[in-house]
Amino acid sequence: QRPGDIPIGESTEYILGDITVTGTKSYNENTVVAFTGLRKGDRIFVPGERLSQVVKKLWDLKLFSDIRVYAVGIKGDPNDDIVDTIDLEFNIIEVPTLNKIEIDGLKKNQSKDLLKELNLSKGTKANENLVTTTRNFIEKKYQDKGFLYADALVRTRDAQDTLGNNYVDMKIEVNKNEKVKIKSIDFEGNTQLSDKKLRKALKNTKQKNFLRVLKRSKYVEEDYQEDLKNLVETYKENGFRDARVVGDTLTKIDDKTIALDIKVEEGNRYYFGDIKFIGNTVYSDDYLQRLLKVEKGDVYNGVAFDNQISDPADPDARTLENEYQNNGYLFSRINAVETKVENDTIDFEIRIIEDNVAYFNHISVKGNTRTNDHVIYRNIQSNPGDKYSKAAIINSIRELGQLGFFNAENINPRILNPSQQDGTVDVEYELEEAGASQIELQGGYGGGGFVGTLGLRFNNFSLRNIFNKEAYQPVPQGDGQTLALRAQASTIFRTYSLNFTEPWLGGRKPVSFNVSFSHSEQFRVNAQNFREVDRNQRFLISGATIGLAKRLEWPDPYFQFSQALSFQHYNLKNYQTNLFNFPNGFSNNFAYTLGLTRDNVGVNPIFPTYGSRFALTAKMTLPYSLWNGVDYENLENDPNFQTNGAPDLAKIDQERFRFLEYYKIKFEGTWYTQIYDKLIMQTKSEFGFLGAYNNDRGLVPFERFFVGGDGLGAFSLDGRDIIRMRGYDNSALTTSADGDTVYNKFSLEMRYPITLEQAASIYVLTFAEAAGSYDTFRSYNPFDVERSAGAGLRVFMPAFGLLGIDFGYGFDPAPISNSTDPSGWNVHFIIGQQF
Amino acid sequence: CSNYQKALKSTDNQLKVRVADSLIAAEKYSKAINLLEQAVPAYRGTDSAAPVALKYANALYEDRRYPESGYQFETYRKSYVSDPYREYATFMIGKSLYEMAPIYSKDQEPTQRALAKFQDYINVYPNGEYLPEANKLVDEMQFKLDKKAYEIAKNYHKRAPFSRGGYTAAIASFENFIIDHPGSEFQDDAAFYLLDSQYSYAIKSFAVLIPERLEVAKEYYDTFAARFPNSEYKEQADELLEKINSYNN
Repeated sequence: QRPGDIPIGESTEYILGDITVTGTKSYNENTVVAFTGLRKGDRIFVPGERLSQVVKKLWDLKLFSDIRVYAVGIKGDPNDDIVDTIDLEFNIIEVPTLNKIEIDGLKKNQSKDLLKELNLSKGTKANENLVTTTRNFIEKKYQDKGFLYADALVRTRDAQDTLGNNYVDMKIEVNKNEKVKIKSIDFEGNTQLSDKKLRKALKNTKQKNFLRVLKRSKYVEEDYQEDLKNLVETYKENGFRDARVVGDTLTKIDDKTIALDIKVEEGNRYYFGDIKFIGNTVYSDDYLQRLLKVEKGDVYNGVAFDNQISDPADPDARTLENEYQNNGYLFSRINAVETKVENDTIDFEIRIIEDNVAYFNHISVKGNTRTNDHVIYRNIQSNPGDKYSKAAIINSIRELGQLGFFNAENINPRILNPSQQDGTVDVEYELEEAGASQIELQGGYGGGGFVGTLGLRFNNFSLRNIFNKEAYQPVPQGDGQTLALRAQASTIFRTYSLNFTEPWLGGRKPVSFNVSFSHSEQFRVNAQNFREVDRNQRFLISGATIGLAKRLEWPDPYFQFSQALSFQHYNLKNYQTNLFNFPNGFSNNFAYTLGLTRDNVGVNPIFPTYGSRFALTAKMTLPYSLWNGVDYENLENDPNFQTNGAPDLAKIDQERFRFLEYYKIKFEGTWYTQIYDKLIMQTKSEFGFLGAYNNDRGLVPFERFFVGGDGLGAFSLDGRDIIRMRGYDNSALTTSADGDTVYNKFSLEMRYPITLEQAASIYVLTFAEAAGSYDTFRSYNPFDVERSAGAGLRVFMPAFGLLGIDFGYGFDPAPISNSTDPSGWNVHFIIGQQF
Repeated sequence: CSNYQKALKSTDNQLKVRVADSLIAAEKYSKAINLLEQAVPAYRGTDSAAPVALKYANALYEDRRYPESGYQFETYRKSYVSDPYREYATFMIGKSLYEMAPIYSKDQEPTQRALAKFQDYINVYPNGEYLPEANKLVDEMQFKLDKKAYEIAKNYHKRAPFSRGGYTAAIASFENFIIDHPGSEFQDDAAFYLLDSQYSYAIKSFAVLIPERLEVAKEYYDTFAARFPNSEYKEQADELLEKINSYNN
């Protein structure tokens, strides 16, 4: 007898003879035998431990619904030995596989979704357990949605296919029943806290109320249990640290409603007694007491008390711990200890071990395979030699994330080598490079023919490596500069533009430098043959802009001051436009732009959830007419501007527009507010005004506002501002053909994200907008606006930028049309980053 | 080219290797790699396995596919323990990593790994054939790491006038550099800029703190002057010393 084979009962030792497997349908018999591990000639006890292990092993495969072992023959040993030979038969019943699944009682879409969630597919092993788990899953799913009495009937029917494999068809009958709402929630035993307050404590379990919109009064068991804990928590926050729920009853009123009764035991209300600080030398007792926001005699609130000492949920909170951690005391520890409970008063001792101040020592960066060190280090706020500060590390993460060169969700600062003795600590920032380039390639019909666009945007460009062949992988990258190139062409126009930005000019301070060039050519089609382009009728515009922007430290670091100089030259040849009264001539637009912005929008630039952005810009030219001595009022009387004695409008306009003279003021304010969970409200207001220094010289036909439509500047010839106003055609709100000189706009947008993954960010939105566009300041009336509302979708993919579609309904007639009907439904396609 | 296509589709592994040889001779490495990739598994376990594997690793290296060549040399080193080319393969592991390393201002993780691999080589073959080259590359990489650390410190110095705590960051970085990179040729640069940072830090302090901080600067000068009497920064350092002394008087 070998060890391990322990005879049970009347077990006898045999030599194993033949092993047969019966009942298999889809499995090979030999496979099953091999799996048992039994071999002919083995010695085995029947019944015995080994055999039960074999059965268990087979059972564990979950492929068989029944396993039986028969002894089919016992033969005496021919060699006349004592041990007989036994033949075994394994009779197994295979678990059938799932074939067809049918769901009754749900709509087609719901069934489809349910199937996906259940993860049932053809070929799944259909054992008893599957039926039970499927039923439980479905019932739980609907109960979680408030269908308290949801039930699911799961039945399987055996069948066989032509090959003799057995399978089952599953039929699921779902009966959701009525959605159950909570008619009332009543409390018993509460003398100190009102019913109202307690109902409020149940965060996700609410009784019916018509005024509540965001939370529904459905009953979900899981939420309810969680809320009972919240209830106790609320008591604790109010000093009742012994409070508990002693019982609760659910009463069915009818199929649709239930009532909840909750019985509580409040216990005593406790108060803070003496709070003593021990071990603090850096901060005074008074100071710490103020931070703690708790005084003797205050109602005991354990939750708030702990959070004032240390709040892991909010790393920016002003807690005692952070007060130490942000001022170098890396090794400090704070412990609050209850020292005495007398009647209803609890004394505390706050024991502080301050330890030495620690200083940042080595600061290193890992994972920057593309981006150069200096681009990263200048955004890190934990510098060598600085006092250790947790806040500095957190701010560094935000700054690095905002660059857009790294995966913002994956910036990992590692605290290394903290040395209490030396008072030093190292930090290593682990980064992961992310794609920072975008390509725009599109073709479509518009502007009188096929329009092709090629746009390239490199957000982490390296200009100094532009002649370095080695650096092309595939473009020189790593210096944090932005280079954007864009070319657009159709049969009748071409535009080219180049834009370059260096965020740290000279590398010493955060002064961003921007330069851009653009050139566009517009032709007319041949008057005889519309397919031919007449290159003799042309309108050329060339321009360049150079700008500097500086981050300010006052009033706060979110302010930025910017300046830009721009120059544009317009040249017409045989080209009659609405802009000028001459077909041949030129005009120059030389302007200076000042801008003041404040921007603390965060965190994700694609889907901001908090903060606001204000921008005030003023663009102005020199007031040439002050000193050039031209009497614009009487130009028509000047013989130099007359042809055959009559005023020549072409000559007059050429004089007026030799150098454009105007000023333009724009304001834009955007707020992001979190409404509920991930639902974000964007509120925005805009205003723009174009004015003239010299009324005799008049308003320029350039730089004007065009309100209406998708807000996309397809090809902007004249410095115009195109303002998005959904629900109306492009420029439909503009009252004069040249564009208007005053506009204002208010909009409200609700956004909800579907996904904010690195690969694609998608959100849906609804909006309501009102905008007005006015010919002159005299006709300006901020309340004379056109209104619209609608909904849309945005998709952001790193390589393509932002794409979107909006459906807007305009409630008012468009001023441009002579109709009195509402503008009605309009579809807008949104391309490019206009957040 | 048609030879190549034929070999690629053929089942004759000797043909694949022959064609690969001629492609390598013609410096058409990527095609040779495609052929050898197919041939290597077939030769495994035969007498010719080692030379074919070596050819493959070499072709990868020549084709600048350094991560793969490094891996293949490593495999070679492990598989053919008593092969005469084992020393070469050991050396080439490090060299592949060396080639992978980007410019000093980016992550130097491959450089760190290459240094470790060259150290392995030097330990195993203290009189090795490739020792001179290994030493040269090690020096080159050490220089790269020195330059990286020095440039980071230098950038703190550059931004210092415009950022709060900028000088202390520069001072701490140069001090660390001097300790962490003892053999570097940037030692005198660092020592000078340490002095320069401390001087600027001192004179931009509150008046009461200036003398004490200049005192530290003077100590930095003394160290600099003693260690690098012939440094190109000597003149500038002397000027700073004069300024320090004149402030005190």
